[in-house]
Amino acid sequence: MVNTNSALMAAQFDFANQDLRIARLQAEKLRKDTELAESRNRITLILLGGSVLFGGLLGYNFLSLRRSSRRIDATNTRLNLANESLERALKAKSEFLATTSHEIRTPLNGILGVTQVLLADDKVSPDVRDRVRLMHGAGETMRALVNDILDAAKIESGTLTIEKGDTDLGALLDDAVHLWTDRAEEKGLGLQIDRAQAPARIVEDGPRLRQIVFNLLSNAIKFTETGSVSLTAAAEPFGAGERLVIRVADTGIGIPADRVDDIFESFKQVDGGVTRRFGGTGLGLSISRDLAEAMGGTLGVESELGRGSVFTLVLPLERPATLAEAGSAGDGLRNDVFLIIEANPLTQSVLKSAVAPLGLSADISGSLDAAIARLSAGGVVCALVDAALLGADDPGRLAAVSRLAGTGDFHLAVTWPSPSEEMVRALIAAGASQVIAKPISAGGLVAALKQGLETAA
Amino acid sequence: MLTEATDVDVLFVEDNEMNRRVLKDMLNVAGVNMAEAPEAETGLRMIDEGEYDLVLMDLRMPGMDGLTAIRHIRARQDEKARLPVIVVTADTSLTIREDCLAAGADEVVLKPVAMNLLFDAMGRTLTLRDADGPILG
Repeated sequence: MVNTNSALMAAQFDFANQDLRIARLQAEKLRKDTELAESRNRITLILLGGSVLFGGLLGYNFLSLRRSSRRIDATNTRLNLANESLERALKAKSEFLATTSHEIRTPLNGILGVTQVLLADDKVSPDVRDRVRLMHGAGETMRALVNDILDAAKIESGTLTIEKGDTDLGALLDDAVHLWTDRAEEKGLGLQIDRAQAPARIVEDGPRLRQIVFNLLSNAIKFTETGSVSLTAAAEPFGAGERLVIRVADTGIGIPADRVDDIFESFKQVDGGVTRRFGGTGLGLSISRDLAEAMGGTLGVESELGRGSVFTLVLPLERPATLAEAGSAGDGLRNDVFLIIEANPLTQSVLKSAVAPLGLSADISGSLDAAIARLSAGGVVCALVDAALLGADDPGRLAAVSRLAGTGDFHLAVTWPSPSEEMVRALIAAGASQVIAKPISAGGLVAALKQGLETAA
Repeated sequence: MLTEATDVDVLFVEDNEMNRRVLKDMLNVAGVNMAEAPEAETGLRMIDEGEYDLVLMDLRMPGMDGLTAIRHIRARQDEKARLPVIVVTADTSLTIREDCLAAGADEVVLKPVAMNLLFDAMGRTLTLRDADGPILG
């Protein structure tokens, strides 16, 4: 179904494109006709001058001028008509795309909504969860296809905009790789990332950069049957400034030398059989190159048939002016993380936006075990945990505080419902840096955290 | 768990029954209760009569559309004029975000709804609405 639908949409989209191309060719031909008519008109004018000098031929020239101007009028009318039909075609196309997108998104909301709810449910058994994850992945792919098609239309109509802002490059690259880890594992492929030489933060259009990296990884994994895919990111000096170079290398089927340019064309995969074998609209790379160019960069490829391909994205590199390089480039780890240890997804979000004024980058762990793993990885300067998540009884909770505190040197804040002085002492003895009494407003919590962090520093 | 932060009453105004069901299930993951209105007129009446902490609003509905409904809420003369409103839409036109914000919406979440983005939008709206943010019990 998914393939039939997307193929159908691709075909319709392609059809609309061809219509547009024909209309453009017609308009171009009409324009040339007009030019020809105009130059004829000029010649006629010279003839007219001659005829005045020679007398005699006035009448004939008058008629000729009239005829020629009538011809120009007729051509202009035809040109206007062609322009109008071109505009109508363009409008019909964008309306068709907008409606199609809206109509596909609605049932997709049902599918992805249910899969997300099921995946968040602990009671779902592992084998069912596995199948739900598969369904969810297929739905996500479909969402990406709809977005790709809309983007292609925006690029073609010139309405695509690039909005640069402070971007966490490290997290962006890690997330993109993380999204493809499962798929790579399923295919038995290695998937590596090396961003040691890249800055942690840059000024760029984050969502668009994520889209390009996502597309490149998708492409690499799709066309690789054995071996591995690797992503490397590095800052390189370039002229007076710097540039960011991101390479995605695979050991896949490769691209024949004479077809290398084709892969960046819309709806073109190297041969028809590829679409049947690998799926996709064939839009990803075309969009990625257009996006790279809109961002002032380039996207190219070097490939050897049967050995693999290396896609290289080069972008002008701008570092954020205000922020000191938070988290060194060298170890690829941030050291400004505020860890929110909380199970409820809405409370996670409330806390995330509440602690934003602290200027730390928020990370979330949904369980005690996940928190311990995250803390052990390093980079956390402050962690916040609530009594309810620590355990069922006081001894269990105190033991949990010890386990958390034992993972390293950071500020551990514990929220506790109206704690007794004795309990505060016990918590501090177990390793808590600060105990915050509940109930408290989100604003009050942040003020308390700020004070706690300043006292510690 | 900081239960009070999630003790919010949400009203979802949406004509599509399946979408209402899916959002109800999603909010239930965070323990949030959701009331529903199948069209904008009913939604406005429910806001008039009931007490909600946050409104989720679809745009394309038979009868009154979502943007008009938001303008009605913002034009109220009581406290409810400040109700947090998050638009939930499958409309991806270029100016959709600007249009929604101009009508008075606080946030826009696109369908298909990603659960984490919905909760983030709700978290931001609830936190920013008051100087102190929601009470964490």
